[in-house]
Parts: sequence; C-alpha cells; structure tokens
Amino acid sequence: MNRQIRILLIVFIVCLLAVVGNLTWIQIFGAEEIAGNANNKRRMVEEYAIRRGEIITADNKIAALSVDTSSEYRYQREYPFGPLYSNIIGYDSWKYGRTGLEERYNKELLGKNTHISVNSLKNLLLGSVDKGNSLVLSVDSRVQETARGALGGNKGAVVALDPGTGGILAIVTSPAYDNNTAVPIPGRDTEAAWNALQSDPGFPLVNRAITGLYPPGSSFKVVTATAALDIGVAEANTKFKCEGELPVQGFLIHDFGNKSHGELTLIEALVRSCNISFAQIGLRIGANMLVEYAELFGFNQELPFDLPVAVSEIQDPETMDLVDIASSSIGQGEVIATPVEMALVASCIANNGEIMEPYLVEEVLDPEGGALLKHKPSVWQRAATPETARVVNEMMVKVVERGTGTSARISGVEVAGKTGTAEIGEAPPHAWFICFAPAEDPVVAVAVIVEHGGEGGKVAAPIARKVLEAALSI
Amino acid sequence: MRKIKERNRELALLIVLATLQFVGFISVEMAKSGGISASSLLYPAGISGIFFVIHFAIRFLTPRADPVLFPVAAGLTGIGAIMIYRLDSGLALEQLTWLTVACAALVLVLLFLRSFEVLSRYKYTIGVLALVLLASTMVFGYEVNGARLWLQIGPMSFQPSEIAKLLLVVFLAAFFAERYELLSIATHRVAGIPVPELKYFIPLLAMWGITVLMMIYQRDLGSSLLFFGIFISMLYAATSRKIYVFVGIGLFILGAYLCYLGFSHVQIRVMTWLHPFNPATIQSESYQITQSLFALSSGGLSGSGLGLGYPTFIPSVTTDFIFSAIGEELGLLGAVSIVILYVLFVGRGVKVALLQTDDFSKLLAVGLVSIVAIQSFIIMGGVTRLIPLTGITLPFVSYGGSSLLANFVLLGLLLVLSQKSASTNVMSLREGARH
Repeated sequence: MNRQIRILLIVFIVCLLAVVGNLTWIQIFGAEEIAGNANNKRRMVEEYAIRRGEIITADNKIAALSVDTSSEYRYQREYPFGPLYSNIIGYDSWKYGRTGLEERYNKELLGKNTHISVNSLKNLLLGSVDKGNSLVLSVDSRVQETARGALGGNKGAVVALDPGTGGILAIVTSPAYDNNTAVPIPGRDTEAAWNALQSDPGFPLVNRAITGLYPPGSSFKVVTATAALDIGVAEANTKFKCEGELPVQGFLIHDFGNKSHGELTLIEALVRSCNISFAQIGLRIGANMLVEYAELFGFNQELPFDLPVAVSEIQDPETMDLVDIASSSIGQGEVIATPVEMALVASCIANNGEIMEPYLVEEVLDPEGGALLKHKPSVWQRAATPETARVVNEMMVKVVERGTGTSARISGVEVAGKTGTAEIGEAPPHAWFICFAPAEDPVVAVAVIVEHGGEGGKVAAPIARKVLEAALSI
Repeated sequence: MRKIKERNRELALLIVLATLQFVGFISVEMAKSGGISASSLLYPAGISGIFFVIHFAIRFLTPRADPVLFPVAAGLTGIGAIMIYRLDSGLALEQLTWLTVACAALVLVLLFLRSFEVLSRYKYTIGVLALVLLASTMVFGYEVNGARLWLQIGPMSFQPSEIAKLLLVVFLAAFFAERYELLSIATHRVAGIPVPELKYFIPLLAMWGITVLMMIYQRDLGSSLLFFGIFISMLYAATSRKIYVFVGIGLFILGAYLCYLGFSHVQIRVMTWLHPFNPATIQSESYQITQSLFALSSGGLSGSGLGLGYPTFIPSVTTDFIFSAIGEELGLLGAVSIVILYVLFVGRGVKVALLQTDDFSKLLAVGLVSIVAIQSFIIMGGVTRLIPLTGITLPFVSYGGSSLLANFVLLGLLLVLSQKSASTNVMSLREGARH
C-alpha cells in the first residue's frame, strides 16, 4: 500500500508544480500580453485616477477639462463648448476610447515622464492627485466661433491659418457633434445619443476639414497659374482665346455657363475664372509638370499635422491623356483636395511660395503653468519662387477687386482670393473660396467649402470674408 | 523529551505566523486608510490567539502529533483572513467567528475521536449520511452562481458537500480496508492485463453514477471532480490495481463528455477555458476567468502590494477566486508560496499515512490528504486556466463557514492519526528495546 501512496504523492506534487509553471507563464512571460487586453480595466482605472490637463484656446478659453466624478473612473472629461471644437479635440472616454488631440497628446495630457503605477502608489500613500499637462491651441475662439456662425447650417468646412507660422486659427466642420456625448458619467446616460450619432445621415463624426475630399474646381487654378509662371510657359500678360468651349480629343471643355470670354490675358483668365484659357495653360504645362507642381503644393503627400489628414490627390501623369490634363488644370477630373490642403495652397501664395507646416498645439504647459514644449514653425514645402508668388498674389487681389470673388471684399483691407465651383455630375456644385489678407502682408489664409452650395463667389466668399474680418481683428 | 521538541517547533512556527499576521493586517490598513486602526490589530490578535489556544490543546491532547500540519494550515488560514479583510472587511468578522467554530470542532475531534477506529464500525451509516447530504441539495438546495450547493438552515447557509466529502473519505477508508483484498484479485486477463471480476467494478460504477448525477443536478462540476478524484486515489492506494484508475478516468471523461454534449453549462466551461479572450464572451461567459487572468498578470513577480491592486474586479473573489487576488497583490512569489504550503501539507499528510500500521488508518489518511491536494489543484488550476474552471473553495484560505469547518475537522483527524502512529511507533521501539 505504501508504494501506491508514494506514487499518489508524486502525482499530487506534479499537479501542483504544473500550477506553478502555469502561474509563471501568466505572471511573468505572458503577463504583458494578458494585462494589455483592452478588457482589463486596471490600466484605465489608474489612468482615470489622474486629472488630465486642460485644453485651452489661444485666447484662454478652456475647451476641455477634467472633473471629479467620484466614481470608479474618477476624473472624466467635460467639453464646455461641445461641438465647437469636437472635430479637433475629439474625446477621451472610458467607454468609447480616445480620438483627436485627446488621443494624439494623451501622454502629455496624462503627465509626461510619469509612470502610471508609480503614480497610483504615490497617490495612495500620500492621498495626492496627479495632474497632467495642459495644451494651448493655436485656435482662437473668436475666429472659430465666427467661422462656425458664418457656415451656419450648411454642410461644409472652414480652415483659417496664419500663413507665416502654419498655426491654425480656426477649423470648423459642419454638421458637428457634441463630444460630451462620448463621455457617460454617473447620472448622464448618453448611449442613445451616441448610437444616434453613429447613424446620423449628416455624418457629424466625420471631420470634413481634414478628411473630406472634394474636387477643388477653379480654386485649383492658383496651382496651375503658379506652375505656368514658375516654369515660364506663360506670363501674367500672355493672351489666350476663349470661345466658350474647347474641343480636346473630341471632348468639349466648357466654361461655367458656357460663357465666351473672347481674348484675355492670364490675369483676366484668373479674375474671370476662364476654364478654356486654363485648359490651354494646362496643356502647355504638360502632365508631368502639372502634377509636380501640385505635389509641391502638397497633393499626393502625407500632410504633417496633429491630426490624421486625408491625402489630397491628383492623377498619375503617366495615365493622363489630354482631356485629363485639361480637366485637372481646372481642378476637375480626378483632382480631389481637403479643405485644409486648399487653405495651404492660399497660404503658400501668401507666404512667398513657402508652405509652413500646419499645427494646432502651440504649447504644452506643466501643471504649474510652465512651458514644457513650444511649437517651432517650420517650412513644409517650397512650391514657388517668391517672384511667382508675388505675381499670383497680385492676380488673386484682382479676383476679389473686380472678378468672381467680389463678395469677399473688405473695406480698407486688400484681400486676395480665388473662387471655385466644383461640378459633380447632376448635383449642385460645391462652392469653394480660398483667400488671404492683407494681400501685401498676409496674417491669415482661409479656405471655405460649402457642399453643394452652388457658386463659390456667391456662397463661399461671403463666409470667408467674415472669417478674414474676425482674424484681422484679433 | 521528543514530544516537547515537536510541540516547541510548532510553537516557533506559530510565533513567526503571528508576526506575519500583524504585518499583513497593518499593511492592508495602511493601504486602505493610511493608518493603523484598532481592527488592524484586533483581527490578527484574535486569529493568532485562537491558534495559540489550539496549539496548547494539541500539546495536551495529541502531544506527539505532526508539528508541521497545524502551522501550515494556520498559515493558509491566516493569509486567507488577511485577504478577506482586504477584499471585504465586512466578511472578516464572520470569518473570524467561523474560525472559532472550526477550531472548536478541531478540539472536539482531538478530544473524542482519539480512538477514531469507532468510525469504521459505523461506516454504512456514515456512507448513507454522505449520500443524504449530497442528495439534500438536489432536493432542498438553492442556487448560487448556477450551482445548487447550498442549504438554508434557519439563518445559516450551509454547503453540505464540504461535510459530505469527509464522510465519504471515512466510509471509503473503512469499506476498502475491509474489501481491498477481494477487489485486488485479478482472475481474468484482457489483452494480457490482469483484470478483476466484473462485479468488483460495481463500487467504481456506483461512484461514477453519483458523480455524474452531481454534474447534472447540482451543476457542481468542481465537487463532482473532487469526489471522483478522492475515490480513484483511495481505490488505487487500496488495491494497487492501475486498471481501476484507467477505467475510472475513462469513465469520468466519458461522463464529462456526455454532459458536455447534453448541458450548456458544461459547454460554456469548456468554451471559456479554450477561448477566454473571445470578444463575444469576454464580457459575459468568460468574464470571471479573464478577470482572474488580468489580476494575475497585473500582479507580476512581486505583486501590487496588499491593498494596492484591483482584485475586487474579480467576481466571487473572496471564495473561489481568492487565489487570483493573492496572485495580484502578492505576485508570483506570494502565489507560489501558497502552492508550497499545499505541497508541505500534502507531503506531511502522506508521511502520516505511510506511518500508519493498519489499513483503515492508512486509507483514511490518504483520503484526507487527497481532499486537500485535489481540491487545491482543481481551484488553483481552474483560476489559472490550467484546467477548465470549476467553482470550489481553496482549502483553509477561502471565505466560508462550511469549508473552514470541514477543513479543520480534516486537520484534526490527521493530527489524531499522526499522534496514534507516533505513539505506536514509540511503543514498538520500547518493546523492541525490551526484547
């Protein structure tokens, strides 16, 4: 009997040792992977024990703050302005995750160089609360609110930025959603509202300003004109002939409203947004150079930004036939652009041919208010020589003075702009306007799009004017 | 001389444990409220006090008993008490009360069952009682977490299977001690392997039937596995016939498989064992096991520290999942310490069995040790996903009155057994010297 008892002992010990082996796997070697599962609440509880830093506008308005909810996830976000900044701030939610700047600057907002578990231990021992760092935005609430007001109930987007630094002054998408909906706190059940947002036919969760891709229409002529002048296939006074339509390979390029402009210079072609002239200019430039200039302006490129931006596109020159070249040079065909990209096109002319890297976060402040990080402006693209930029600038001034963009005129300030009326099949065209002011020393560049708004000069230009005025008055 | 030395070793171990009790309770209190409160001193004082009283009871009643078994059990109970206080301080007083009752029962065992051979005389009564207790939950029991394990007697909830397992071990020890020679005789050969007559498989089949019924009607997979494990261990020890083990395991697997096919609660156990992190079930069926794994993995080598982790995320953390809470807050080091304590307990228990001179005592000791070994393996293996998770308490550590009571009675019986063999051995040594 004793032999069997000894064998039993061995079996028991082997079983218990297997537990030790398995424990070693779970607690040491596989621990990282298991504990990192999204369903493990521990990391979240520890993160929400930290009071996240605030997000503040350039003019000191608090756009995001953390409040003590005395629940399991202690500090929760509150967004006092809701939809006004939701497209850039995004949300920080224990239930739905993080988006926007809340995600991009999560580490900073939680407090830099602090290890979470060390924090929680310290908190428990000292009863203190950790506070994260704050973000100061380049966005100014006055410009932002004006832009939202001017856009009104239209679907579309507005982007305004400082062409000299790349600092975004306003970035509005419409319709917008209330990011407080993403943060259910005790006593505020938002599930129904959240679900409604997901299926909203207006797509309020889509940030049109940076991810909406639209044909730029005639606003793209700024790029075409810059290319023509820079490589010398035309000068400001080179003449073109417009007979209302232009046959290219058996396909008719026509003007908006089939207007015949007669003989006109490059300047006049831009002022009156003559498609026939620009199609001819495009054909002179050729596919390769047209695409090269578009790329210098930022097309076909990942745009460096605090938030993920959709890539604006122009067709591969290898696959372009003459019709493609002609329609691309007037911003139709397969050209698509985001509103932020078109704002950068305007800022390029405004800033002597250089595009500054756009940004949203001006500073990161530690809890005591000291600057941990300050944005240093840097050049992203050199798209044109200062000389060419100056000529295009003057041409754009004339567009607003006496051309298609007169609705953007501001008394006492020289405004430079270009309209766009992007045709998309049978539906009403998208209304575009890109501009900057004051023309001689620009401090703000703006792009406006109103989806299916109609003519750019009539619909988008007045909105842009209000945004310019707001930016000029700060 | 010798008996004093053994009891002094026990006392020394208990003093170390008492110190750890105070350290444990104080660190929990520090983490909870940042200071030392009366309860952080009264609880360890109470628990250590009870253990010292038991020590003196052992000193007088069973002076030659094994000196390691009680300190190991006390250590497990003490760690359990600290964790219970940390997880739900409201339960701590109840656990202390139950500990007092359990220790009183231990003293009663030492007092009245010193000649435990009487038990074998009432083996059938005891066996029937075990069956009645098990059947009672099927009829009168109520469900907790999907298993019908509990009886309500007045204000008290009671888990009959905890007591039934002890009665079963006593019955089987007596039954096998009487019949093992018959059961061991192999009259046939099947494929060259000696096989006993078919009728000797009847006890095995009967036990298997009971186990399967438990699986179906009580939905208590843990206890049915435990009961069958105990049975097979004792049958093997008694008869040395491996054929019983293989047929037994085969039958159990067959039974489990049939239950798997027929019952969704068994399917869920298997599914959550194989795919715990399946997003479709992680918030529902496999919530328990994944919470346990998250706790263990967050603990790492040295743990978060007492009171500094989040073990309360785990459901049933004071009972079935207390091992995961220990793993989170005391780390791999703490969890392995628990396993080592069980290895020590089982090792000493087996030593007690080996030293027994009669078959009944030997089998009784083996059965009691099997309870602790198999039960601790089932639950520790379950919460670490080594085997499918089945709810059962961690002996001595988990919160729960019936469990604590049963385990201390078990300890009492082992102490009595070790006392008896030590005395017999001393006597036979003396006799040997006389000759």
